[in-house]
Amino acid sequence: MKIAVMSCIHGNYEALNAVLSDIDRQQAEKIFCLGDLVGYGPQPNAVVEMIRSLDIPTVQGCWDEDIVEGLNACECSYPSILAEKRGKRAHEWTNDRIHPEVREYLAQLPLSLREENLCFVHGSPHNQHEYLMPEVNAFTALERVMATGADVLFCGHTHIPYVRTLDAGQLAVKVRQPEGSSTKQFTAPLKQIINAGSVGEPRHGRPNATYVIYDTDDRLTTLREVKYDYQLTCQAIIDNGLPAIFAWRLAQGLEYAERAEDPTHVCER
Amino acid sequence: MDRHPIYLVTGPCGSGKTTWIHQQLTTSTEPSAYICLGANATPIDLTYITATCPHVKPIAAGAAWTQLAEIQPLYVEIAPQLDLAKLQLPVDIESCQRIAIVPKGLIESEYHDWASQTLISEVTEKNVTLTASPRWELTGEVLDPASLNIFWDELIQGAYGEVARAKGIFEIVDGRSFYFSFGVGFPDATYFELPLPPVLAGRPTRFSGLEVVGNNLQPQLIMETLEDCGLDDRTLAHY
Repeated sequence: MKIAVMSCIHGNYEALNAVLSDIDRQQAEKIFCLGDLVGYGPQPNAVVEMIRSLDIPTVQGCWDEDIVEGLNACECSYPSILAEKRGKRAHEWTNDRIHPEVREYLAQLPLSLREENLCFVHGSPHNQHEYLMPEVNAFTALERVMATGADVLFCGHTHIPYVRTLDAGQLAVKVRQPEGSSTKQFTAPLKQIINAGSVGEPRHGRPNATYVIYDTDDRLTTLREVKYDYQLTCQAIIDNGLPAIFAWRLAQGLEYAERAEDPTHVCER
Repeated sequence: MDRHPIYLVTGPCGSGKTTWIHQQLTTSTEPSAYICLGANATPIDLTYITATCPHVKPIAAGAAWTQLAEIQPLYVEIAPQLDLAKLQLPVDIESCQRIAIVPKGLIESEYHDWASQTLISEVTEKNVTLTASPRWELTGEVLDPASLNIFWDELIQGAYGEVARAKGIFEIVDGRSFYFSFGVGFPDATYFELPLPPVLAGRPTRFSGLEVVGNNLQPQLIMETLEDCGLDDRTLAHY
């Protein structure tokens, strides 16, 4: 079965429309969404309404959580004062405009989804705010996949798509107790982490939306990059009173806020 | 005894005037003097030269030129916004070494006509119409380094308009002072720490500031972003 996985739409309705059209052309049978439907972009309500109307299974992203519970992430979310101020302006803007039923929908989203040997999360299985970067050490990567019990872990949050294959991994855990120590060995079959990138706020140096097509039969992943009229979104950012720098960063393929210096830091909010 | 000449150094924006003067000053440790004409409000070049060349006597723009007779060689950097034809100095201009630093590809210009010697810099000629050169004095402002990096990248990549040249001196939270420089046609944007004593208490009183030359610039947006990069008193006290 061919599935499509997308993430981090961030209120960019034009990008979402383009990706949905591309998914149609790829003849995917099912779509999964890894959250961050809102935040930074100018059309949060329209994006959520589209996802709901298509009944797309969706997990809660960090921005979805912040809109529901208020912005109280620890310092990991904003590695700079500038990024923090911009993030707070975006949060305030979104919070003022989000419809009550949209907020309710975001509130009830699950933190993870399972479909046979596939698991879907926003950041990592431990936290929506945790970044699973492609260069994270193999131990951490394998532990995150094994924690789900799945073979393939789909995530987003980094806004850069990638596929990481963890071949025949082994984990050894040594437990020391007063009465002696014991060692447990875990041998994992082939595991994969697949990052879907970002539909609405890419960070790969181009404004194009990204998502992935995954074939469950042959475990083949295709990273899709979709062109769309991003200038419409840029104009909507400016017309709706969001900071103009967001439009410039979108046009450059730069995420609006920079990442934390220690991306594996687990948010302690 | 032979007197060292007075060097009057001019050239288009971003051609490498300060770089050339800095090279001359660092080849010798003999007492020298430096003045930059046309940069009264934001003495970025003066601060940069005197911080990195301690044997150089800085002469603030507007200071009495009687000091000129005391220390030579004297390097006078002439900002491109000054009209060379109307330039008046308390010395005989014809008796000075008139150096034009011009970019590769610039064959004919007012600088060529005016200079007694023309030097071709490593910078390539830029096809940018320069319409504005806003400046900001930031003395007393302490910036968050991560925010400064974001702002600088955005600035030189054109987020606030087309930038041909940008240079600044910024104070950061750990008390150090940094010099940032970017120019179209320059090999790379660069930044480095100035060899100045760190300011570990309160706000620094020494000069910091930014100068940007370009086209369709958005000075208000630049200023607001710089303000967003700054630390308030409470945060600064915490550090």
